[in-house]
Amino acid sequence: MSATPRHRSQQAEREELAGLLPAAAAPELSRGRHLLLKEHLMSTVTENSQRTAKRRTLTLRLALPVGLAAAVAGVALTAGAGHPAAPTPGLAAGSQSPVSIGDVAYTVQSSGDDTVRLTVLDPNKPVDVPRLQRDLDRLGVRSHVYAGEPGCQAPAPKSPPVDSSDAALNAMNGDSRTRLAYFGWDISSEGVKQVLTVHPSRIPTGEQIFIYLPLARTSPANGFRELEAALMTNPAPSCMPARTYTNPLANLSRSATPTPTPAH
Amino acid sequence: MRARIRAGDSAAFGQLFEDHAGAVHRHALRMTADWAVAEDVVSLTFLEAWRLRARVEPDGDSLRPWLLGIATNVIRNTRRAARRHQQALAKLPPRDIVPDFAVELTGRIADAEQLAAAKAALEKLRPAEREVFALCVWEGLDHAAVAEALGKPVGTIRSRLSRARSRLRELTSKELAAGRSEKTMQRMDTHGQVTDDRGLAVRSKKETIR
Repeated sequence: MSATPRHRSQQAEREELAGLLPAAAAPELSRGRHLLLKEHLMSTVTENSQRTAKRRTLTLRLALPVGLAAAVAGVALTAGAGHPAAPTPGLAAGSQSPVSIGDVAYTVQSSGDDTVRLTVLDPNKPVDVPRLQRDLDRLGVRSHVYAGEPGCQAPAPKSPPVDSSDAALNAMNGDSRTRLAYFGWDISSEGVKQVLTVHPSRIPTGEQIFIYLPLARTSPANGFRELEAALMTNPAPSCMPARTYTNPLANLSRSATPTPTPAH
Repeated sequence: MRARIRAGDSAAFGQLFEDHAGAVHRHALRMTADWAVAEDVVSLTFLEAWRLRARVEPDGDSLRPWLLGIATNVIRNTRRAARRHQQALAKLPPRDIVPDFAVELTGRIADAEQLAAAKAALEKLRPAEREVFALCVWEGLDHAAVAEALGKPVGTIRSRLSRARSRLRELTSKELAAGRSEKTMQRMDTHGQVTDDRGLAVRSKKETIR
């Protein structure tokens, strides 16, 4: 942050005020304390993202400003109108034998080097869940896509054992590419788009990617919102409960922690 | 950076701490004049920032005004913030009540006196004026950045600053009339040194004290 004021008058005012009551010299935090405090923060932050990460369930709470969300919806509509199954131009630019399939709400793209990317183009579009499942199957991603089902009582999926090695922690702290390299899958955001990337061959036998769209049925207009993804061990749950849609903007004051709908 | 913070990227958060923890600490120390409390404020500010990350505006420059705004709220209501992060605070490393290097001790004591004196003077202002004054004058944020930090219109910031100025002028003339306490004189002495680089002026003063 530059301390240079925008206006000379502000500078003059600041000088005068500093003359009236100068700042005390504030001894700096020693490097040791700085690192200790940072370590504490980072352990809380990672734990926080690992409460999800331990199960490696990544939840997307999309809190786009309304205007932006509308703009995105507009673009997706134009691009997809009339060609719901057309490959999205620009996305198919992978290596080797790129395959790109999808509809206005998403694309699934295989770049031919054991990388499959599911890009959520528009969280405010209905999702054709069986079709998404087929698309992922076709590109070799062992996965189960769940649309939240009202009245479903099935227990949450079981997660593989937690990897608490230093390497895993470091990967968790790294960027998306690092996490992907270590875990074989990751969720990241590219601008306003959310992307689930998977290396299909890296998903261990007996495990599959769990993709949960809790709103897909109860609130089709928010089909991809609150998307969760994780690695789960078989057997997979037969269904997953539906949630009701709560406006994330109304929720902003209560942090980005998902607030599950109370089960009545 | 803003997008990464909003997305909850922990590496970006680490970077945010690297870049701004020093400024948050300095602000907290000047507002509280308490070494241990200032450290808690740093921890709480970044825990709050993590909690509130979705509120970061997608566009803008440095996140420092945002962080200093959070720090201001934390200082105003440390107890409430501490309650909110009870679990995390339980794991906080023990407080650094005594500075960790003995060689620095004498310097720290001089600093502590100076901090306490400046804080006492600051407390003669109304709380709302105090916050604006510290952010603008001591931290060097411009009016717009202070407005962003405190979530108030720029006009409010301006009027609070101008009230702070009248109040300080009044106090200064009173103190001068009332026999010129030595401490005030020391502070008044720096008047001439305060040119465009406030940080430098402060540093040179610190050295003369040591």
